[in-house]
Amino acid sequence: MKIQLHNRVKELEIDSIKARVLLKELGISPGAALVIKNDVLVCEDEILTAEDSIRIIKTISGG
Amino acid sequence: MRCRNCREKAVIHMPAHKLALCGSCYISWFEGYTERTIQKFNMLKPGEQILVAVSGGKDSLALWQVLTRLGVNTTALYIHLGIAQKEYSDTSLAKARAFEERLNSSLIVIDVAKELGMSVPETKRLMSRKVCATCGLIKRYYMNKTAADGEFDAIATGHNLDDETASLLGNTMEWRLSYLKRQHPVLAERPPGLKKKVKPFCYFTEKETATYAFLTGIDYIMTECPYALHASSIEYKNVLNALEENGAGRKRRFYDHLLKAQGHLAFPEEAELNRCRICNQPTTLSVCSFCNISKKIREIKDKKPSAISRQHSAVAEV
Ligand code: SF4
Ligand SMILES: [Zn+2]
Ligand SMILES: [Zn+2]
Repeated sequence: MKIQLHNRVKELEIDSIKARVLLKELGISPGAALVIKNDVLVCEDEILTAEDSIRIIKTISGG
Repeated sequence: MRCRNCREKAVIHMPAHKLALCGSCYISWFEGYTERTIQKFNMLKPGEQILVAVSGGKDSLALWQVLTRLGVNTTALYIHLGIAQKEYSDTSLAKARAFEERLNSSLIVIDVAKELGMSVPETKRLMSRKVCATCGLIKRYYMNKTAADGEFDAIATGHNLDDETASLLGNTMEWRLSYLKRQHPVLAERPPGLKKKVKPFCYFTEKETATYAFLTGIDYIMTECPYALHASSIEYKNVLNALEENGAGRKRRFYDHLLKAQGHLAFPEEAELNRCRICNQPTTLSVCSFCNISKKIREIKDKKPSAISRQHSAVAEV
């Protein structure tokens, strides 16, 4: 499964995963990220598969 | 998960609000909630002219858009800090400019390097304080001055609940009482010449503003300011998000309880404001911190050695 995280692409050896679990795997708090599946924003209970295009936008900013 | 309003598929679940919404219901909810927050704190009066401080980031551009959609008279202000690393300033200005066109609104741009003779990162050489401290001072100065010169009634900033609770946590850890006293969604005008400041997004989490920006297609700068990467505010935000994960609504309660406690706590008296002898802007000193910085810059530019010995003179707030 390929995941686009800002300008990096991460590869995980899984076929399908719940968005919430994926965020946990990546060490990202669900309160600090948007999960975009095939260009559509989805909730944390969404199932993501290796066929989907997945993008994660971290929402924390500093300053 | 389904939208509470229309039963379409939800795009966001907000446990703190016990609410899940689809994209179009979310957009109306977000704009309506901003309006209710403005009313709750009596932030704006009808007909007031508002200067929206924009950075090119999601929160400030979203705020500019929401206020415009709510029919508020807005002009935006972008302060170019001269941060060349990762082309941060140029890119964020381009985003703000493009957004001005999209909203058919107007944007005032202040170029710090032109005004002051030195970009914000360059001031590092002459200040003992960190870049962010000088940057904050310069931004606050130009915001107030632009609002005063343009006869605006208030300055609106895009601070969200995560920003507010992160600074609340930081201020509490250090017990900075004067900051705790002044942390509020609306700071009334203070004579002589300190403009009203409002934070209409103070109840939205960062995720909520990002969701609004995504759903309405706002093109914002995603790169962080290079100086923000080690900011303690990010550490505080992570801690607060971890708390929130185990107890929805904790961030909001932390903030609301501060606002309630403010009426009961004994804070030190605030220093009187007067006008700066040089620039006429409000300050607690006789010459304001901004004019002190700009004097140091001129001295360096004129290569007067005296500037070096004054490098470590204290620069107080405002
Ligand atoms: S992170 Fe620091 S230098 Fe960058 S914009 Fe914010 S205050 Fe200025
Ligand atoms: Zn709906
Ligand atoms: Zn001054």
